[in-house]
Amino acid sequence: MLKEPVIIDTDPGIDDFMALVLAAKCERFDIKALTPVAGNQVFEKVWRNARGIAKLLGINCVVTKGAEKPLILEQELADAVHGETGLGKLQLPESDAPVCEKYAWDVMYEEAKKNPGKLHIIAIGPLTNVAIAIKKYPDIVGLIGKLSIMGGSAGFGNHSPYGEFNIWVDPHAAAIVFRSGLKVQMFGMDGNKTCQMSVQDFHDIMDLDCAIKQEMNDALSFSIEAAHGYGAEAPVLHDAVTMAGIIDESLMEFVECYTDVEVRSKTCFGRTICDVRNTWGKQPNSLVAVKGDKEKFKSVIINTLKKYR
Amino acid sequence: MNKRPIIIDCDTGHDDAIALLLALGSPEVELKAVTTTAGNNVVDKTFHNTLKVLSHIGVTDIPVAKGAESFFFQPHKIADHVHGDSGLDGPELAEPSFGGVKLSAVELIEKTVRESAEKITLCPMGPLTNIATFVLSCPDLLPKIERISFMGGSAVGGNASPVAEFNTWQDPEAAQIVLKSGVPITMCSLDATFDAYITAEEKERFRQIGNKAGILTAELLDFFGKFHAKVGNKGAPMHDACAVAAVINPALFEMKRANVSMDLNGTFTRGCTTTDITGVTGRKQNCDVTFGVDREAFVELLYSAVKNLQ
Repeated sequence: MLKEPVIIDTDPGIDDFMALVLAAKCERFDIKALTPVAGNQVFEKVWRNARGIAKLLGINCVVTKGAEKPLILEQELADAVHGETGLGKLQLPESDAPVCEKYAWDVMYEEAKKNPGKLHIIAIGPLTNVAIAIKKYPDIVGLIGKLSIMGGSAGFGNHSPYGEFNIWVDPHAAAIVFRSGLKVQMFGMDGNKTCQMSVQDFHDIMDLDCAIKQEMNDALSFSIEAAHGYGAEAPVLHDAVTMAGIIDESLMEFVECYTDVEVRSKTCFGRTICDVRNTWGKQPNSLVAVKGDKEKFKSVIINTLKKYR
Repeated sequence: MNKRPIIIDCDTGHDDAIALLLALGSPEVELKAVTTTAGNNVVDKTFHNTLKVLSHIGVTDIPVAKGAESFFFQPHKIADHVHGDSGLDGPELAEPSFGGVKLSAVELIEKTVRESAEKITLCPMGPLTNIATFVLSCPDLLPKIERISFMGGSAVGGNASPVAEFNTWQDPEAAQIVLKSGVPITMCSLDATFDAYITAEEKERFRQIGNKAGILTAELLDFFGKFHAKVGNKGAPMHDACAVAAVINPALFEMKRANVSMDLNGTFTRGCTTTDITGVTGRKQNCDVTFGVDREAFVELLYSAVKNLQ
C-alpha cells in the first residue's frame, strides 16, 4: 500500500498526546516529522514532550525545532488545562534520539517537494510554523497535498466569546494560512464538541488493557479533573477528535465555505469568520467540520488502543 | 385585559409592515406611537411606507414621526435588493390618508413616554439610531422604559456580513449605546428570527382571510418571499415581527441571558453583536437573546392578529 506522507504539527498537550496515540498506529500514515510549536506550553516543553511521546509510541521520525512564540503576539499558555509540563501527570521516557537541528518550515518544504501533491500536514496547535513555511516558501502552497487543522469555530469559542485557543493565540498566523490559497480542512469547536465523551466513555477507554494503559490514565485523569475545574463534565479531546476525523473520514460532516480570521477587533479578536451563508460571495477556502459521530470517535480510540500490545 | 403600551421604531419594509399588523391586531399590546428611521431605505420612504400601510387598514389615529436620516458614523446603505426600489415593493397601496406628527422621532418617543402613566416598551426593528438618541437625550425617562425588544443582532452568523445582522451592522455605534443603556433588553436575533418564517401554504391562508390586512400580508409575502427563495432561505422570515411577538408572548422564544456588546472595530466583525454565552468575559448579562422560536405558534399569533383587523 502506498502510504500517505504526513507531518504532524503539534504542541503536546494532553489531547495532542491522544492524537499522536491514534496517528502512530494508523497504517495509512507515513509520519515524516513531528514539528512542535509553542502553544499549550512553552516551546522547550512541547519539544521535549513531542520527543518523549515519539519514543513512547515508537514513532520513528524527526522532531524539529520550530516557532518559540506567535508571529506577533506574546505567548499565552493553556497550563490550567494541560498542567505544568503540558501533559498532566504523564511521565515520559527521556528521548535518546539525536537532536534534529532543522526547523519545522524547512522540513515541511523539503517533504512537500519530495512528495508533490501528496504531503498531508496535520496542524493541531497554533498555526505559527505553517504560516512561516508559507511566508518563506510561497510555492509550498502548490506542493502540499492537504492541510488539516484543529482550530477555530463557526460558532462560539473556548477562550473568548468566539475565540478558539489555537487560533486566538496566533490569529495572524491563522490569517496567513486561510488566505494562502490552501484549502483548509478545519476541525474546530463546532464538530469537535459533538464528539464530547462522557466520564463513563473515558473510563471505558482508560480501563482497556494495552501497553500504554498507565500513560493514558495519567494523561486523561488530569484532563478530566481539569474539566471539572472549569465546570465541564468531561473534556473535549479536540486534537484527538481531529486525528480520528482524519483517520475515519466518515466521522465528520463538513460545510464548505470561505473562512477568514479577525485580527483587529476588540471583542472578536482571533475569531474565525466562516461565511456559511456566503454573504461575501467568495470562493470557499475551507471545509468546516460541523457535526461528528461520538461513537465512531470512541471506536477509533478503542480500535487503536488494541494495537498497543 | 391590561394592554401593554408599546412604541414601534421601524424602517418599513415588508417585515416591518407585518410587525405593525401584528401589533395593531393583538389585544395584548397597545401601539401608542410609531417612529421611523433610515434603514432598509431612506427615511423619507420608510416614513411614507409606514403611513401607507396604516392608512390601508384604516388606522389613522396613531402618531407617526419621521426620525434619523443618517447614522452615528456609518454611511447609510439601503437594502433595495431585499425590499425593492420603494422600500415596500409588491402591494399596490394608495397614498396615505393622514400625515405624520410635526415632532421628530425622538421627540415623539419622549412625549409619549413622559405622558404615559405606565411604563412603555420600545420595539425597534431598524437601525437603533433613534433609540440611541433617545437614550442619550432623555436619561431621566429611562426608568419609564419597561424593556427594549429589538430585532437585530446575532450570536452566530449574519445576513449583512458573515457575522453581522443588517440592523446592527447599519449603525453599530447606536446599537452599542442602546446595549449599554441599562434598560432590560430582548435581542430578537437572527439565531431565532430566521426560523420565524411563513411558508407558501401559510401565505395563502392569510390571503383567504379576505380582509385588507390578510390580502396585504399575502401580497407583501409574494414579493418578500421571492428574495428569500433566491438566497435559499426556508420561507420568508418575519424578522421584525419577532420584536413585537417577543413582547406579546416571550414564551414563544427560547431565550438565553448573556452579555452582548457591539463589535466596533473589527475588519470583518464590525457591526456584529458579540454574545458572551459562556460568561468568559465576566461582563454583566444585559440581554435576553432569542435562540429558537416555536414557529407554528408564531404564525398562529400573527394569523389571529391579522384576522382581527380590517
